[in-house]
Amino acid sequence: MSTLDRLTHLIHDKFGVDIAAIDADAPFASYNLDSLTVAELMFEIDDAFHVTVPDEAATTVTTLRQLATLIDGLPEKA
Amino acid sequence: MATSRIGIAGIGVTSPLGDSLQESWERLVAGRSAVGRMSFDGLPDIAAAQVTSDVSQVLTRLQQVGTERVSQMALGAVRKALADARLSAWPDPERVGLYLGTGMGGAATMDAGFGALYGGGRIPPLTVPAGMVNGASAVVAIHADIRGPVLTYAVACASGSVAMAEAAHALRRGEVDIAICGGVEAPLARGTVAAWHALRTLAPPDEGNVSQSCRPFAANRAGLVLGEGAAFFVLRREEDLPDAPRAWFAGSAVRCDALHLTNPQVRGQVSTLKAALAATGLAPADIGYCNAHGTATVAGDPVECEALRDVWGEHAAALRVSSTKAAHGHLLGAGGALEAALTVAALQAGVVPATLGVATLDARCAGVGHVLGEAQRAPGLRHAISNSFAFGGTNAALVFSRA
Repeated sequence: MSTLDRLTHLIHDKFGVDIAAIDADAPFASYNLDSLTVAELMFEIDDAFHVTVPDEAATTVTTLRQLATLIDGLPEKA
Repeated sequence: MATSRIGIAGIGVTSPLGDSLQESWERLVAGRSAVGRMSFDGLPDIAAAQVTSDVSQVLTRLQQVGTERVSQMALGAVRKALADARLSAWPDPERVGLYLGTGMGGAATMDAGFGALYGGGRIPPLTVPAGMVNGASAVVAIHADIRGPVLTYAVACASGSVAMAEAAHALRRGEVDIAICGGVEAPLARGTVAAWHALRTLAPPDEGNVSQSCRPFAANRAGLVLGEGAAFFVLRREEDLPDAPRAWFAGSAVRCDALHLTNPQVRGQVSTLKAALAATGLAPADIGYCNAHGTATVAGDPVECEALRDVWGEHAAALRVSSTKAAHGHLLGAGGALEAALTVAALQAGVVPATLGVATLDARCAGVGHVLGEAQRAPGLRHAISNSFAFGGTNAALVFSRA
């Protein structure tokens, strides 16, 4: 499963957002993920993907595709 | 405005005794306690009264982000109170106020966050908004569209009662047209329970009958039993009430002992009770029932009974008194609100609930009309008082009158 697919399912499982509503190229807010929810999502990603998402990602990353690209570029934690 | 009576238009309850005032009341007068056994890592088992329904259902999973049990219970009870008052929307949300009492706010969130941090893990990013003491108020305001004063009262075990007293004052002053008020508490988390246990105030689970671990006024009482839940009221001025109210909020008083952090004192309780009566223009003999603070601590119960004897004087023996905490536990910041709701139910039913679990009354608690064993019919009951005496010395007494 691609990182993007995994993220989509994570958002669905964690927040109950319909998978069909998640547009990887639209802002998070377009499917009702506000800044607090994105912060919570980043926290979950660290555990789910064994990475450390940098703090600034919460403000610089605005779409799911950007987030997937960022995660794919991060080193996996031991 | 000053002469308006304040009516109770609706009540919503989520308590260990049930998911509505009616259900809680019926279980109470049937003599069934909600106290059970609870286990936490590293602690001896405790007796506690839990809400057993899934309180998270009031919000979608997306809406639950940044909320916790205390805010979910508050919102659920507020929605029930609004439904009871047949209110679903209001023309001017800025004329609606929320007066919410909670002693410990999002204690479980802080507990879990600090636990993770001290264990070498990471503290979740929403620990502050979910755990802050006014988090529940914010969640209620957002989802009920309350845009007037949204205030949180942290006055330990008097929080809910103080919030209600302040709400009624705000209505009398004309600051709001609808006052939603009450209390909520969700203290049954490991660290919070451990802190209460460390203070040596908790009753151990009664090995013979865990449901009777909380025994207010009994010679063998062994301490308080923690509970959780929420109770909220919709208050309105008489001229704004669309229907007959459940009861009248006749008056209240708030005073402080100013003597000790935790030990209750007769002086402050007497002044509170006298001030509450003075606020309503009622005489001691007019009050037919007292829902006592009655936590079942060794120190607290005799002090409260002495204060009642002092204020009621020759009428003390005729004053029916019970502590419903035996059945629903001590809900801390929500305790006064739940007990106020049960006091209103008593006025409506003309029935006075009993203190459960008392085999032998402590002689130091004698001299008032304890209702023990079974609920009593009281068809002539017109006025009742509910006491909340908090750690920190703040005392509140609320007086209600039959509609």
